[in-house]
Amino acid sequence: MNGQDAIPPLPPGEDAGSQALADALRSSFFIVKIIMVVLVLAFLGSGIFTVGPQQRAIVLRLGRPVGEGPRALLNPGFHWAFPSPIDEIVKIPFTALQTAESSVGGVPPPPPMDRLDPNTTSYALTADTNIIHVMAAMRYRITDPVTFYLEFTNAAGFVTNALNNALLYAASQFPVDDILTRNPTAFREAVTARVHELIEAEHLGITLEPPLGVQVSPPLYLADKFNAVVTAGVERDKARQQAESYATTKLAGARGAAATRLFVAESGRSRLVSMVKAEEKKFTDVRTEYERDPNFYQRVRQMTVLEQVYKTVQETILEPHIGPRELRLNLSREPSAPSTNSITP
Amino acid sequence: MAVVTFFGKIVRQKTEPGLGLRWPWPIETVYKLDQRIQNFESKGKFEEIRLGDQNIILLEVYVGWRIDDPKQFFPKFLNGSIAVAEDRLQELVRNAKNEVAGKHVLSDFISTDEKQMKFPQVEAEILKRVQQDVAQGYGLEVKFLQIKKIGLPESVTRNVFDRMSSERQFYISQIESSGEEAATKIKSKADSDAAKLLSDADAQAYEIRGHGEEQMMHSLQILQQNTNLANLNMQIGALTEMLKDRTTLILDQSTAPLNLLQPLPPQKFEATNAAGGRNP
Repeated sequence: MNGQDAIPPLPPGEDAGSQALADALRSSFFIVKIIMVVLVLAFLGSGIFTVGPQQRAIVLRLGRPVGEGPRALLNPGFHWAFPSPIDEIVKIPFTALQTAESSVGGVPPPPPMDRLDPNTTSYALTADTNIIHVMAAMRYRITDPVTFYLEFTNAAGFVTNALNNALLYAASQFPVDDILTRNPTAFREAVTARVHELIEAEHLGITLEPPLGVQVSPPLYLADKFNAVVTAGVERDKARQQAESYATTKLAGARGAAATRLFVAESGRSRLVSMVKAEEKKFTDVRTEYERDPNFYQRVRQMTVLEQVYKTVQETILEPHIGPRELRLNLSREPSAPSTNSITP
Repeated sequence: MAVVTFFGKIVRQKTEPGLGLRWPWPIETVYKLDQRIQNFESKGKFEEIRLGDQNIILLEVYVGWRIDDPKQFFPKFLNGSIAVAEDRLQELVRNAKNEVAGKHVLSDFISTDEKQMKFPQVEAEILKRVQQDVAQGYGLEVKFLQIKKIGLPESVTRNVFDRMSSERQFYISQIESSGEEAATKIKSKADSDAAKLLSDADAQAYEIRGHGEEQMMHSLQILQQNTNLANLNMQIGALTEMLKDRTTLILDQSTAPLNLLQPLPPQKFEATNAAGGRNP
């Protein structure tokens, strides 16, 4: 409908006043029309909102979330919703991965104290009633933002407390040495399992992103003592390794010596047998000849040997009367020179 | 959720989101209440609890609770004040902690024995006790309760530290002695094994030599058939071996065949002439 339809032109013959009133009404309706268009545009425009790069948004229509699960989250950019009070925009800080850190059990600041005030310090009790400091950090993904942001006033606080509880619960099942040195992996797994259990039980709408970071340390006051145990362990291992090294060397030497002894024995046996066999053969070969005339045979062999000896002897000195024969072996001789046997009277 | 009052008196409540109608103020007033789960943690001093075995521990819990019945909650806690409700909740939790923990012993909280460990059971018992209390017209619901912090009295921590220190010292001594023991055992075993190896080798060597002598016996029996010849052969062999290199010999001139170099005795020559009348 426009102004001309609403206020038809006066038929000819109407007075000028009526004509002026009609013109005024036409102008007024036009202005009202403009205003209405502007108002409609303003109404629609007021529903436009932006979500920042580190934000997500949830639209509550008459108090009820629009969409379920991850689809309820509006990503960064321009969006439109009905103006209040129909829709309400809840903007939430958001990163892909959230981080939570434990708030109890950490190491108190120095100096080391020989006692701990429970109101100012916190720690965990181990299964063997020792005191230990434990800290943990974990990353999690918000898989159900409607639950996480609209079901809890402080869901992140519950996540932190779940982590706190998990540390205490796990520590209460392990001896201190298991947690610190013997089986830290099992301790970390126990913490992780407990966190999972609590997150599911409390329906926080998040999913834990492994791995979970756990840091453990003895009380500052006893740090030197714990370090001394570690050092003693290292020294023990070192002594054991040295002993193993000694054993390896000793056994290797013994094996070598044993092998040498066997080799010597075997070669001695072989040499002895060969020598005697050779003597046997020589004996057998000449026996007949010897028994025919032993003196002659002995004389012939003696002369044969002397001939060989004289050929190789370096020097022969004849003495007229030296009594019984004396044989001198010339030891440490000079290098061999061309053989020139000489007979000196 | 919300409650609507008609001149101050609660006339209705609304627990689901949506549109609603009311008379204008001051006839009717709408009080909106947060129906989300609240995170409540114990406030104030960390309180000591005496356990059933007379040990003393300190427990702090966190509680997840929410308004369950606005009509009950609103008048009970100063027009629905969360802070006032949590003050009351703190008292309820404190009573429940003392009552439940007093029935347990320290090993129910910390133990390596899974069967004896009752950490979750203690939490469940405290939660149940608190839930029973708040069911008495508080208009709130406790969803869960967990232990957040656990501790010992300050004086006890000193004793614990002393004991831990003694334990560490004991472990150090134990480790050192075990290390020495292990090293000594390893070395002794190595010495023993080495000695055994050598003695075994000696035994085998002795056996080998014995075997060689056995093999030699047959030859010796043959040699024994003429010991003079055998001795001669062996002496010649030894002499040849001994003098095979360049050697200086100092010999008597009468040694054969050098004795051939000596002049014949004259009397022997004369005797020969006299006997035969012939010149040599």
